[in-house]
Amino acid sequence: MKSVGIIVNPAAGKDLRRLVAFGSTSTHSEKINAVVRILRALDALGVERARIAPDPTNLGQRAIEAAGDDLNGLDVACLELPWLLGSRSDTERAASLMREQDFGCLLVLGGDGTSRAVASHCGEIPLIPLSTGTNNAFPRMLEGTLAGMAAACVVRALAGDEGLLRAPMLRLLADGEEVSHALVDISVIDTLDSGALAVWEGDSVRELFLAQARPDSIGLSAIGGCLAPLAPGCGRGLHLQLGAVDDPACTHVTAPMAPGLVARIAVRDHAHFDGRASVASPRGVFAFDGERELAIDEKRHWEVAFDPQGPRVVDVQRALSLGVERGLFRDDFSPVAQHQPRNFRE
Amino acid sequence: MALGKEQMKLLYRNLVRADHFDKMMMNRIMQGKLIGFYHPGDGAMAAGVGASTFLGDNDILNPHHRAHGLGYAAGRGVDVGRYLAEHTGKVDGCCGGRSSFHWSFPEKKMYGASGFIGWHFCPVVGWGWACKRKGNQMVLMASGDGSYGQGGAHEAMLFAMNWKLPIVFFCENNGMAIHSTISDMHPMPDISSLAQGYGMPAVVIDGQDVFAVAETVIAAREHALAGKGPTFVEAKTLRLREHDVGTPDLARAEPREAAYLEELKKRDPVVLATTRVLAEKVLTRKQIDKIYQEAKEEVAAIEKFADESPVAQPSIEELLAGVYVA
Repeated sequence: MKSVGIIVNPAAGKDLRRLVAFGSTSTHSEKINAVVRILRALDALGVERARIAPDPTNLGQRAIEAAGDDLNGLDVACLELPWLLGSRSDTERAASLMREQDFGCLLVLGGDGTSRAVASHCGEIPLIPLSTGTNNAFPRMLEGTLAGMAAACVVRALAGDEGLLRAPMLRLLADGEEVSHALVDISVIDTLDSGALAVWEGDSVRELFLAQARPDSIGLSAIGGCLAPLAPGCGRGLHLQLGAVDDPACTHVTAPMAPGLVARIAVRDHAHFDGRASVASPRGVFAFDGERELAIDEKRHWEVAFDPQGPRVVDVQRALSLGVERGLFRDDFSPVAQHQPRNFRE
Repeated sequence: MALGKEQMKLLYRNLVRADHFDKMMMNRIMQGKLIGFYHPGDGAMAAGVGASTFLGDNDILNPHHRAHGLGYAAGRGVDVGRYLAEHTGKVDGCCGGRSSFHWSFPEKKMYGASGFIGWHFCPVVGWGWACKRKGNQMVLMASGDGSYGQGGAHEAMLFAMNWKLPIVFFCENNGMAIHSTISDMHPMPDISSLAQGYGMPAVVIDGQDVFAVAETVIAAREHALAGKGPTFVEAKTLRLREHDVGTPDLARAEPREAAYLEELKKRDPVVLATTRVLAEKVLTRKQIDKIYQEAKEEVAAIEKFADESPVAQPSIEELLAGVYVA
């Protein structure tokens, strides 16, 4: 049986948007509780081995201690990484190690940025992204026990790509060469610095490329979601050019930019794209999944490519339903033979 | 509010200056040219610089003992020559050469560290109350993670929140309290989680990123001046050296691993900020070289001023005149 991995971003859900908006705080103790709930569900459904990515705050170890003697057969420990820097590289190294060890499912607790860091290094491991961040379009609000049960379904009762979806993603190209990517949105922010990373001021956004656009999301993608939603699996992205809020030629959209921060945004133009779309803004900073990161070099030609073949994500409801069908929750359950998942890119 | 280019330049300049000042203090204590202690800030100067550079002139700033508040001094624009003279017992020191690192610059509304960690929480409530009465004025109180083990911290947060005082509790969490690790001292690694018990908005930021710190404190200051009450900003930072020069660098009873400390140096805030300003074309390499040269010249002038100042030899009457008895 394949192992289940758990990666928790201890910093998620604590940034500046607690001051400039009304973001809730995802405390360490709540994250520990969520991991305990996951571990108990994995254990109850017969998963044999789980590994938690280590972090400098020992969150995983604390969760293991909290779960304590309640676990019966689950072999759980923290992965061993030589050094922890308390930065994104810790998450990326843990995801890489789980890929090398052929884990069967990976639960990711964080926001869009955390899922992005994991997705770039986890290969084909199916993800269950749980929201503990501020703006969450990729991870969803999901109770830890149910997430653990869904992971157990994936490694014990499902085969191949059953119960899995392929999420789209966006790739940023400079002169045709990929320099970064995002799972939900790439935006151009009319500012010079990346500062505290988070983006919450709608009038600072000049251009927006979306892989997802749903009206029930919060953050930049909600602008598209409140104007021209993208149906899941539609195979194309949305490109928006934003204008000045007092420009009568623009379409004005009211959208949730951050928790409790519903803003009126002026959209000058919007269009679908299914291949590459050029970045029109000559200057500014690129933000990936809502985090400012990279200044535009005006000497290079920038494009955003829509890639329908992004990370594999567990359809939790479908996985649980299949678990029921296969009898995972009954005493007389017999596990299915695991097959190598089909490589979608082949 | 995102920072503009000029703000980023100023932050970078202050960070380089603060780093040079810290190295100056290290050199001098190793040469026996300081009185008292020095608690090095090597690798952790971004938090103070970012927190103080954009405060208003009327705001009260209360730094703490790490680097003897040099990051905050650099951001506030105090006369570091008088600061060093104070640390060398000279008459031109900001407190007449009598205080070592318990210095203050009242004309800059900057009141420094006591020898008692965590002493300052309750006076800060008083300053906060005064700021609230006067209006358009706030307090930034800096501290380390260790000081939140003091009862006064909780009393101060309780009063600050009940009275909606314009205070930013700014915690530099380097994960070490002298020889104790934070896991030995606090049940949760985020000190800011304490603030939540008082209903105080709290954020956790990368204290190695001077721009992120500045942007956050600007927002926290606006929150305070808008009458919304106190906030808690936790800047995660690190400690590259011993707690104070002359004390062994131990975690519990064991020396900290050299290889681990080498890894931490990758998070040096000056290195991170230099990479950022070059990548974002805020500064050119030539401009950065000039900032370094100017910082070096400033340090030379500071040392010359302090060295040429006469040794303070106050009379008993002068000393007693500085004592307040309630």
